[in-house]
Amino acid sequence: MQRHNIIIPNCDDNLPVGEVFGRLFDTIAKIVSELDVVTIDNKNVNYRLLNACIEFYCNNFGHKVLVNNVSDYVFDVDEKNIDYSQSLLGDFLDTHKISNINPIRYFVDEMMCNIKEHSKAEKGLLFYWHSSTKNTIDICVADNGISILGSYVQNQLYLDHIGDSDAKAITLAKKGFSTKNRPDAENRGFGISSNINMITNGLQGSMYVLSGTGLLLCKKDKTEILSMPAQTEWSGTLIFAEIPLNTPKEFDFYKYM
Amino acid sequence: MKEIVKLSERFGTRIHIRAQVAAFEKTLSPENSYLLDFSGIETVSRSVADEFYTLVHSGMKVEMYNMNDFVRKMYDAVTYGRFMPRNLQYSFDEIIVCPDIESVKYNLRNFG
Repeated sequence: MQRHNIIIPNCDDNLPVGEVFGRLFDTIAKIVSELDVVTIDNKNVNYRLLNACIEFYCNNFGHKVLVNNVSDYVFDVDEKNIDYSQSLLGDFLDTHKISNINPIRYFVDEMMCNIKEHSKAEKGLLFYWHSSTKNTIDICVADNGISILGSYVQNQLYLDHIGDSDAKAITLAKKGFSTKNRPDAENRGFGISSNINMITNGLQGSMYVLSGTGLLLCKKDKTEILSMPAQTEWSGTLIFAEIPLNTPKEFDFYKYM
Repeated sequence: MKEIVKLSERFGTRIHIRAQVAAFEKTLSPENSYLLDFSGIETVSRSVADEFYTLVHSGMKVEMYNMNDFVRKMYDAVTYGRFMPRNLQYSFDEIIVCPDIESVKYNLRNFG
């Protein structure tokens, strides 16, 4: 059996987020195109979040790959492990003396809740990184579950509107369409929609939602949705947020709830 | 007589996950009355606050007290949301179809 080597080019946490995703998709496409064992050479990658995403992909989406460093941020999806992962985040925020923690905790709480409630995933990833150069907390929450489209399909909801389009499914999630509203109330569906609003409009950060072959890009006053080729598919959901630590004076956390 | 349930003894100082509250609800009896004591609970997620709202309005004899400022505001946000429908619309913005990796990377770079 032949062994192929994939070398990820140098990058550090100054890299624009779009470029990070570009490198992630490049790597995924190369892995997908190889039928034999693949080795990832990531020793020149100083942006550990990118490494964590690639390692998660390699270890959880059924490819025969070897990776140099095993991520410590992967967890089995059950309440105890989700709770433990979030308590580690709390320790991280304390260690870095992050003062405006409410938005960060809210983002992670709601994304982890989505993994538990909707994804049917076995494995999750919670990775976070303090970028001193950008003065942001960069957070990635990912799973290897059924994807947003998969969740709508499983619940037989909105299929006339979204068909088999991951991009359309993410659009509905962004608007707040939930699979689990009560019959008498629109009480669900706030997790993704409120976080996009809070992080982009409130804090002037960015948020990206990757699910299947759909990719949503959001920053203040700008949103794009991409429908990507099959070889970049993420079989589950990956959500990435760049949360600035300079909080605008007028930011009111509760306004976004 | 109302049974006092000190939530921090069950959940710790933070309640993150909706399913934790759903599991707790199953331990309650409709014949009894409960006072849920939130002292020691520092934060709850919005999803958890929504689950408590559902519990309180489910017909079970449950009251809540000793909420700190954060928990109270989160609960108020959920209550407000229940009475203010969002009027969600099935409209889709333009979806950019990328036939290959290079077009994905082009759009990512241009997004900035």
